[in-house]
Amino acid sequence: MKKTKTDSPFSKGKGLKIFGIGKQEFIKFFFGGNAVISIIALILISLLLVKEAVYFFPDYKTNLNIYRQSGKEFADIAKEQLKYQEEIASLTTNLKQYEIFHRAGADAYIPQVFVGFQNIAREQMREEILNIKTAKERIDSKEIIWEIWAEDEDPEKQALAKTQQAEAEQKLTQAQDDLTVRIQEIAKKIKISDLTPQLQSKAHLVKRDQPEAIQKLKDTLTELYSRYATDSSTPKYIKTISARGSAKRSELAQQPLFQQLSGIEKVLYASDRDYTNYINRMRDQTLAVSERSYAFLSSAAKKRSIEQGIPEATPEKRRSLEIELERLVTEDQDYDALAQNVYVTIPEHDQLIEQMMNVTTPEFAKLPELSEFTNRGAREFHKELQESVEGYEEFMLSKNQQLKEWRHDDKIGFFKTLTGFIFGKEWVANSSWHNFFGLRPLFGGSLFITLIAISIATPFAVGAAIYVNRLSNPLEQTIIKPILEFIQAIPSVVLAFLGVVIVGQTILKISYTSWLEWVPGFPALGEQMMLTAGVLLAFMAIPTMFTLAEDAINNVPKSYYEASLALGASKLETVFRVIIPSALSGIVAAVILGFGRIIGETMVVLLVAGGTIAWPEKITSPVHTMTGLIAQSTGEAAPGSIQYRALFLVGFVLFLISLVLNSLAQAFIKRYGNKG
Amino acid sequence: MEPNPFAPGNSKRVTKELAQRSVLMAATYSILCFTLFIFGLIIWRGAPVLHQYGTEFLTRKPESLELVTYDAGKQLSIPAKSFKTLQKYNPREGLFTDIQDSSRSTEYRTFKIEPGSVIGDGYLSNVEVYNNFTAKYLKREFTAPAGFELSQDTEFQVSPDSYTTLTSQSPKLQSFPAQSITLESKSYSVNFQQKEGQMQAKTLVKLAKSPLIYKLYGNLTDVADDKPAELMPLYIPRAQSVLLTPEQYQACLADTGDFKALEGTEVINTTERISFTIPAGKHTLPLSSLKTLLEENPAASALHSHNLEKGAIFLDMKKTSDSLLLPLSEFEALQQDNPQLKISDIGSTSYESPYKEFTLTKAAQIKLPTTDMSAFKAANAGAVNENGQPRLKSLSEKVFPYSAGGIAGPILGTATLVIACMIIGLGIGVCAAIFLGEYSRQGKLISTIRLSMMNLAGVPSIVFGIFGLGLFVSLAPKMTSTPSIDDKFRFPVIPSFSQPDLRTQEKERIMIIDKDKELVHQLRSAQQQGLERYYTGWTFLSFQGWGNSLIAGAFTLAIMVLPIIITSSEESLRAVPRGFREASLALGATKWQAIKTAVLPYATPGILTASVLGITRVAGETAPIMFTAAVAAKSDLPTNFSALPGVGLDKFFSFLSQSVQAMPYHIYTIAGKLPPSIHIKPMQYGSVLVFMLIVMIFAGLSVWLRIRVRKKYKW
Repeated sequence: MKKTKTDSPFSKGKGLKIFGIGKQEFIKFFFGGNAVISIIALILISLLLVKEAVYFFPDYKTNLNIYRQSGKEFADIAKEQLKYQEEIASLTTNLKQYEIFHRAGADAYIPQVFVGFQNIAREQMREEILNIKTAKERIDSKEIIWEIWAEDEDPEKQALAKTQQAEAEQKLTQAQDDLTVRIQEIAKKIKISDLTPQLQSKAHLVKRDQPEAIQKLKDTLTELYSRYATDSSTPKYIKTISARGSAKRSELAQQPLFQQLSGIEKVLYASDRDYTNYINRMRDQTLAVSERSYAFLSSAAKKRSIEQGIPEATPEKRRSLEIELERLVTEDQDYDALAQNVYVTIPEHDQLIEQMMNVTTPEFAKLPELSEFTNRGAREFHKELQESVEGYEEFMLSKNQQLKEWRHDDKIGFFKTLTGFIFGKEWVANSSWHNFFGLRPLFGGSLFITLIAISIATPFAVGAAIYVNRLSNPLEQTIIKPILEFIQAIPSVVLAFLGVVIVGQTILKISYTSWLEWVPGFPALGEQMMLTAGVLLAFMAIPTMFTLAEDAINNVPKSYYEASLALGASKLETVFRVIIPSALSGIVAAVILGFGRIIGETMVVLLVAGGTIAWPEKITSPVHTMTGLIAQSTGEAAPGSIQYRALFLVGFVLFLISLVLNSLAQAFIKRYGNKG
Repeated sequence: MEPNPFAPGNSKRVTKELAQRSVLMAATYSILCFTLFIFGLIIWRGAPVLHQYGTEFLTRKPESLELVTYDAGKQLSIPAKSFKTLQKYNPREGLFTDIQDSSRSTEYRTFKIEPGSVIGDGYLSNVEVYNNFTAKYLKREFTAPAGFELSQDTEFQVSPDSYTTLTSQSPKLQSFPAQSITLESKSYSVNFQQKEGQMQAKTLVKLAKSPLIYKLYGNLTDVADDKPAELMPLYIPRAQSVLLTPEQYQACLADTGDFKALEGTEVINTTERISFTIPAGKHTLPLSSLKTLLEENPAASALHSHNLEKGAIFLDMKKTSDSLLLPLSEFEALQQDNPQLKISDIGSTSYESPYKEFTLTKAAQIKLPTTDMSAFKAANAGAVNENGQPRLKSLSEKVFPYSAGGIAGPILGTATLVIACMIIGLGIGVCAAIFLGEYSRQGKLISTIRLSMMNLAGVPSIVFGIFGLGLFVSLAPKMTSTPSIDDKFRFPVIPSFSQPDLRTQEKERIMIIDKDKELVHQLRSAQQQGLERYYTGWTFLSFQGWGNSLIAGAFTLAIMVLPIIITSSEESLRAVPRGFREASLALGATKWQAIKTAVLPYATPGILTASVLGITRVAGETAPIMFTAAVAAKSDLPTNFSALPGVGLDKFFSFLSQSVQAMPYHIYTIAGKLPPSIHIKPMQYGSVLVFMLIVMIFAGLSVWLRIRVRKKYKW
């Protein structure tokens, strides 16, 4: 124990004072300083993020200006026309293929289903197949020795060769017998539902068209593995079926409908050849200009660095540095002169487009009617094709006009850079063409995943809050509340892991059930999609939302409840007509905070959202999100590079979103707080 | 609508209410069911893994799993320790029979190194690996004799000048019959015109070393790796005549771009060489001679572990070393190849190590972690059976990364991260809570603090991650006498008198700055040489960041967890009745004394609850440590202090500045970054189960503590 001068432990000693600050004040300032750290942290976070953002915009402005000056923008606009043309051609192909495959029936799918069955069986018979393989290998590797020994004069060696060979062959037979027994067991048990979802739907088609085919496939499987040791080639049945399938398809292709489609297809594919050459030429030309601009931009810093290094370098190193110095790009280009090369091609471009349109437009009239197609997929393609065809001329002409109006010296200012970042449609880093940093697809991914998650989580969380707070018995309360607290403690990476191993597959399987076909976007194409991430994030947000909503319901004054009951309302009527309206602002705050929690979550979206940077079109599209992209790319981006800064800027956007959501929730809580 | 909403019940109304009630109940219980499903799944799939691997799952580091199919064989041997692993990884009946104990002995030599020794790099590191021995370097030199071995008679060709130097340094070389020969080497003189055009990336890579002056547009290194045949825009600014090597010339001729039709004139250079043959066997030459020989004859292969670039090490030792030990063969090489190494007190000793012998009854796929598999292979290397075939015959091999071993590294990493984070977080958080709860009066400052805390709590964790990257990893200040060459800025604080010794200089790539020359020039030159740090004789406060390190991660996590700690600690301070403080103050205590004696003891359990809650949150986070502390693979455990550089306080600092593996990041790696396979599945579920157990124990603890605190302290 420390002793003060006086014996009383509570004496207010005068003590030492520095600059008028005594011990007590010092303690106070010490604690106060620690409290201020949260402000400092917040300021530092914003400063750091703002710093990178401030550096980002000038860089991005230069980037966009080079895109325009070099004529890359021109090439891209012209390329859109090419893409439109190609899209129409590929739609025609799809239309034809889907319809042919549909009409040709299940034959095309039987070999695929067989491979699926084979994979399942092989997985289970790994050991037996390995035994056959090693037994065969043993025979192969020793055959030469046996052959030599068999002709040896020594009778002992002859005998040995024979017995060893017999023994090895015996082993092979044994292994084959084991396999035969095993495949018979397995073939009986194999089910369509064991297949991957894509194959399942094909297997169902097979079953519908040729009910006996599935059993036949199992028999073939048994047959294949019963003779595996001697002959492991594709079974005859499968070969016949695939031959039959392709024969049927080529026969169908002779029908007038498909002949006509093939004709159109051929013309469409041939029509854009000259234009493609033109586009490639423009792209090469403008790319060279922009590469030169970038080389010039970076040369000043490089030059300084090399010059500083020369005095202290070894003579050998110095020579190479001097050569490097001379190789630097030191003069900027004359963009006005270079742009003339682009403007000059406009008549050529217009002529090529006109030529293309002249060839293509008559073909559109030949397109078969919708009623001629029976397949669902083909009908969808037909609709899409019709739309594209209708907009064809307008699109081409509007792009022509856009190209005529395009000016290389229209400088991009700060405002356009900002909108270019916020509304930019593409986020491409390390591209061989041009890097773009557009937030729109990422924001879209984040927003839609959050909306899906919120719309799943809200009914569950609010429903549970109402039930637990007002309708359940005390025992349920004491069990449910801690469990929800445990959910909150589940690390996000564990949920992401579950998404990878089970939830994604489950949702994919569900999306293939036939009575859910009406859901837009079903069936899904892969496990990684917005919906998977949405379901997991909903589960993650439920505890937060539940706690806040339950608090809000709990805080409704008891008198409201009692008054309502006294007026003769039942318990549930009171809950729905009195309590929930009173707690509504608190519940809304809970939803907002849940929203904030979900939009900022990283690991789940990183692992299960798909990682495709594109504006989402349906709930089963794979997407990338703001958080996911930061997590994925920050490690690769070089510090100080434009990509690195762009990622920090995305972080800043997230930070702003969280601040706005927080204050919004605060505002709501304040409102409902006043009621109590 | 009924006119009276509260009309007495009819059957329709009752049904409606029942339906409403069941919907709400279903919502609640479906959450519970989903939770149970998740926990059940993890336990159901994870528990068998833990059962199979036992405690080894916790004590082994993550490793690759090797799947090798071996043919049946007899008398296979394996170290006894690895045999246990073998059985564990291949739990099949009747696969291994005739198991017998055996042992192998290894012969070692013990010796001591005397001061004033000269030794080659490879030999020294060998001694250091086998013994707990670290030596400083006094200097490096090339004059010391160095031994080497030629496996066959080798012809060497050197220039006449070198030959004179060589024979004067080592007269022994004169004894080998020498003859003088003339060598012709071709090069091509090529004229380039001023031209703009394109050239293939792979040609440019070759031309980079030529003296041709050109301006290249685009990033060569990116393109050359992906698409070597890609054409790149190039501009040759003036006509020039350049000498190209045949290789460069051929590349130019083969180029598909605009510069291909280049006619070159052949230029033949003749050089005089002197050729002599050194017979196979062991030889000794001064290191500088050996260097010249091998540099001028890159095709010759000589067996040695000297460092020809830097020279032999002159050891900085004050007294004779402790007794050291090396396996016999390595010791012989050491002695023969380092004639100036002074060795005394040579003794011999041998160690027995237990082995197992067994029969593999049939061809089978054997699974083992990499370390055990290589031990198994090494134990059977060279052994043959009665037919003259190798005893252990592998038929096929596959490797699955991260699919074997355990989670020792990640667990320890997470533990150290959490402890470091909680020390920082609790230190700041509790002090802040005391200020907010006890000292502050309602005012602008306090409401700002509360507001910023509320907002800090809502910031997404990935934003904390890039914040940590920007601040702690790449900007935070560090006191050091050897700052990084790329630091942002630095202040000199005090002069430093401990210039890093030669060994440290080499290891940490430090440049010693010469005061007489321009600093900037020296730094640039150092950068171009690939050096990383420099020493000027001052200790700096250098803003270079702490790198990807434990401490950077801990600080990032601490800031993230601050709001939780502050809010809950403040709450528990507020729960202590006012009367306690007032009574204490009334008795004459100062404010601090009142807090210390009458408030804190009663608030401690509440603060403890807050910290446990914080641990739960911190341990599970991945995003903030992704770029600040975590690495996917690391060979040493973070607590393996003997492998860390430095002594005393330095060692502690290097402990803090190492990067670590962490459980959440490990799970992310094995679940998200690697392709799925059936071999990695058990590792995934096992790791997730252990991780969940740890997190859930802490979560349970916090729930239990809170209930207990509420029951215990009721005022």
